[in-house]
Amino acid sequence: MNHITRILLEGIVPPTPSPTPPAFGTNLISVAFFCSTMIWGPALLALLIATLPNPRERYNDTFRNIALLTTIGMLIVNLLTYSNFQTFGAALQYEEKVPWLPGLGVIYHLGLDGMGMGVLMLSSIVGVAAVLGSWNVRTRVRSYFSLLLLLQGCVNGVIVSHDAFVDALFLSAAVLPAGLLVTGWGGPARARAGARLVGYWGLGAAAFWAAIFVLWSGTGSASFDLDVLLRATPALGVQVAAGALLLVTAATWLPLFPFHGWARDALSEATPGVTVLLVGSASRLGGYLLLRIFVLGEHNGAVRLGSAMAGLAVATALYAGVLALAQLRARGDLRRIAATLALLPGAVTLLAIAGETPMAILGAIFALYAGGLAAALLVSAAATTAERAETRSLAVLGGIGLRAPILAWIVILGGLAVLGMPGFASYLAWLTTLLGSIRTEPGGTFGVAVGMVLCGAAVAGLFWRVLFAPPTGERATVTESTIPERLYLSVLVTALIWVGIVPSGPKVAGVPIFDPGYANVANSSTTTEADQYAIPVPKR
Amino acid sequence: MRWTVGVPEALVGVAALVSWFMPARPRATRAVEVPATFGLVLLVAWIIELSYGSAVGTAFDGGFVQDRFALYAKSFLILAALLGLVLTDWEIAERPERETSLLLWACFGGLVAASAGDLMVLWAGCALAVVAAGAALGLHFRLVLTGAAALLLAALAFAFVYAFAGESDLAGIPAKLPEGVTSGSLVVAAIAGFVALGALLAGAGLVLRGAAAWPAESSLAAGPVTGLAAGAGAVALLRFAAAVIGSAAGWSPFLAAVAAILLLGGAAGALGARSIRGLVGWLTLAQTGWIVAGIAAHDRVAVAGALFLLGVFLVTYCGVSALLGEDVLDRLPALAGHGTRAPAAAVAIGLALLSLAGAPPLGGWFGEFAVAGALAQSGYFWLLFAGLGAGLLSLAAAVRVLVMMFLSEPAEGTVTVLNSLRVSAAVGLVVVIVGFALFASPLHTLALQGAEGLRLP
Repeated sequence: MNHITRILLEGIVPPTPSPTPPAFGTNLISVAFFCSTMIWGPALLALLIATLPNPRERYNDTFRNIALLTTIGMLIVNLLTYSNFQTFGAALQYEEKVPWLPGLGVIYHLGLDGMGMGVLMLSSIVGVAAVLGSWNVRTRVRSYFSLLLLLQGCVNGVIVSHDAFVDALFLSAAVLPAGLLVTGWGGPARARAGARLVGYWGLGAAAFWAAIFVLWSGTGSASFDLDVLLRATPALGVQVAAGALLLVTAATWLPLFPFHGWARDALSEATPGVTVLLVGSASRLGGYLLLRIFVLGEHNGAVRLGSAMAGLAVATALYAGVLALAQLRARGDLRRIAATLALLPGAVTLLAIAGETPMAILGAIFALYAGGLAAALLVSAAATTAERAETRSLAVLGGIGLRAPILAWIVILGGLAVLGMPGFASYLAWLTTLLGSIRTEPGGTFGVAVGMVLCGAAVAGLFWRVLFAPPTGERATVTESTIPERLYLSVLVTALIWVGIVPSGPKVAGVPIFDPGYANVANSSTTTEADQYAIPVPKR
Repeated sequence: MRWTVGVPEALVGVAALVSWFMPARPRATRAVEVPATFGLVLLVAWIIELSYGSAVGTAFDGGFVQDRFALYAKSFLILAALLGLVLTDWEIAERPERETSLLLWACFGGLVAASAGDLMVLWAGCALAVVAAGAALGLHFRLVLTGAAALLLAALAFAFVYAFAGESDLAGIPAKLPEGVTSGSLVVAAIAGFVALGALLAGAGLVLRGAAAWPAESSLAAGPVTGLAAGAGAVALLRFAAAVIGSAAGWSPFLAAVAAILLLGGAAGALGARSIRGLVGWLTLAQTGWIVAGIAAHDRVAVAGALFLLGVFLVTYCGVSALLGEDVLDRLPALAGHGTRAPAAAVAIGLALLSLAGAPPLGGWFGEFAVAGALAQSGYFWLLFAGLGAGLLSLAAAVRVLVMMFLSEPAEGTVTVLNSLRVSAAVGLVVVIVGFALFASPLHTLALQGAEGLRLP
């Protein structure tokens, strides 16, 4: 297995972190307060949009453009810092550290390691796609884009913060704009969907609060700074209790069975732009926090809960596969089927986290990125298809492949990406996850693989039904996707394929060109923490 | 001690007297003239408190104490009174001068309680505020009876503690009381005091919850006056808790249970609320639960969290209850589209609801986090989980109204038009609520100093 692994991953994972030649363009531009910019940039623009007058909706286009320029600007800044990211050494980069609430031991501590940078890139890409995917929104445009930017600021806040208090602050703050975005715009059952989202995510945020308080009091720490909090070694019981609570956070946000109730409703009712943001980046925060705080911080507790996490992953994968097949058989709602299939990346992410080997942890970081993009692509492509066809019923959605070929192809790509087909970043993510977890969680790996097969059958059935099968009864009038729709879907596809094809970044004569490689960035600074899970090789 | 330290009390007291005996102003101008005049007095008092209140000392043979606790509490009492005064809709008031006077008396009572150096002055401050609240509520029989019973119980508890300690000086009592008492008559007396003062604190939420049943004679400023009386009760509660800290092991579990009931009851009530004032009342009750939880944890950080929350509670409650007043928008569905019709008021109401619900990153959230941290350190995990659950329910209740105000089509019906003074005050309330978030760090540091002023362990 080790030999096969080495061959498969050669070129992706360097055997040991070592200084690499800086990417071309490195240090040409440096961004001071980069992490703060990623949080407060969208937040301040959201405030600006919210307070600008808009008599008779006259400036709707202006608000759209401001939102688009903001997210594109954030993406550009993020790309520049990504290209400057040092892919060796475990230290936090772009660090900001200011005492905030000294009485409570809270520090405004921001910074990025490889995992954080990878997830932040995901958030920036998804942000642009979300704004483009919202181009068709016509009502209360000012409030919509204001909330969208606010949500992105909160998501970025969770990713870059390195203090548990600040994490809790942004995680909790994200619930409100997300709930309002689902409740205010979208399908007829949006009010219920919004309420469920707020309920589940609120529960997850409350569990996160409880987890950090358990850790804080268990370690006797005087600070919520992760540098301090995670260095201490609390008793095993404390670790397990905190881990169980963080698992609730992950299960409600990612989402995982049986805490997935919001996904079916919210992802099938919200606008395409909101679904992209929800499933693409916001929901990944659950897995991100579980990985960062529990698995990389509390080794013994994580080992103890490994099987439980794997069990949850298996349950989610099997549930997604079986339910999607059942929905397909009943010729149900296209968006609901896509939402069900979007559970699979969360299951794979959790399996990777449960795998607890260096390779599985790398797989988890990959899965956060690829899973977010793949789920967002499938769900939003289904949403756009439903919008274009003005129906979601599979009974009348048959055979749109001939009438809307571009849209049809994007749906296909979304399905393939969720299944982790070669060429997509999800392929590497699923592969490293399965290979990394097979020794530590063989049952879990097998179970998730079975779930993948079931989901594969459902995706195949979905392709046939939507793209080629003749409609039963009334034929849906479908129109081809518009330019903004193609653009936002293309952003997601490109991000998936780029990392899938050049995970180590493009190189000319061995020198990286602009992109240091997602795999290198993800692997670099987490190596130290992940090494504690390395499986000792038996001596011959 | 510099004489300037007592100026805010003097200004508020004199203003209350002047307002009471002031001849009725012409109907055309009184809606702006009266709140603007006395609002200016309160503003001056507030500035003086902030400028000179940091001086520490005692006066009147220890009856008046100026410490960091007094500075913090008095600053927010005056600010809450100011917001309550200028946000009240005086257009339809028959005698705004008299009603203003009641508000100023309640504030004065709170200031007296905040600077109380002994049990007698502490009780007197509370009594003054409660009497003002009773008058503002049109001498509602049941409320007046409850207030009187609470005051009587507080007097008995104070007398008992005095008998135990042999002195009434709040600073001297802890040294005279036995340490580590877990049961017995001292604990019973302490619990009686907590019940009495806690009833005053929780009264604000309970009274506003039943606003629809207020007598016709009740003042338009009844909401803020009740809030100030609750503030006086809370201030007395904190000072009393510091005095009987030696028997904390006995009364702490009782307060924790009360806090859990307030938290969960308030949050559940908020979810089922049918009117906006009812919703604010229930949310206030839940936030009151956090304040009581902070006292139950009874260490310096916990009490600092409770004190921080008290500031948030005072300003938010007095501001929003004044803004809502006798509003015809009392039924929740009537709020649909309020964000379009009256944006300043809607934003102020929305932020106040979120702050009361403990939504991040507003002041309520910071205060609750501080208390929650102290609960974890004290081992009160069950109370922490109850608080988190209550926070979740409260947030859901607040979101429901936000959706109604900002994401629904405007409802038909009477549109509330605010005059320019009230619009400015609504913007001021927004600024203050946001200010709690922006300046959470210095405010929490001040609250910590306030808790140190109480000489807590």
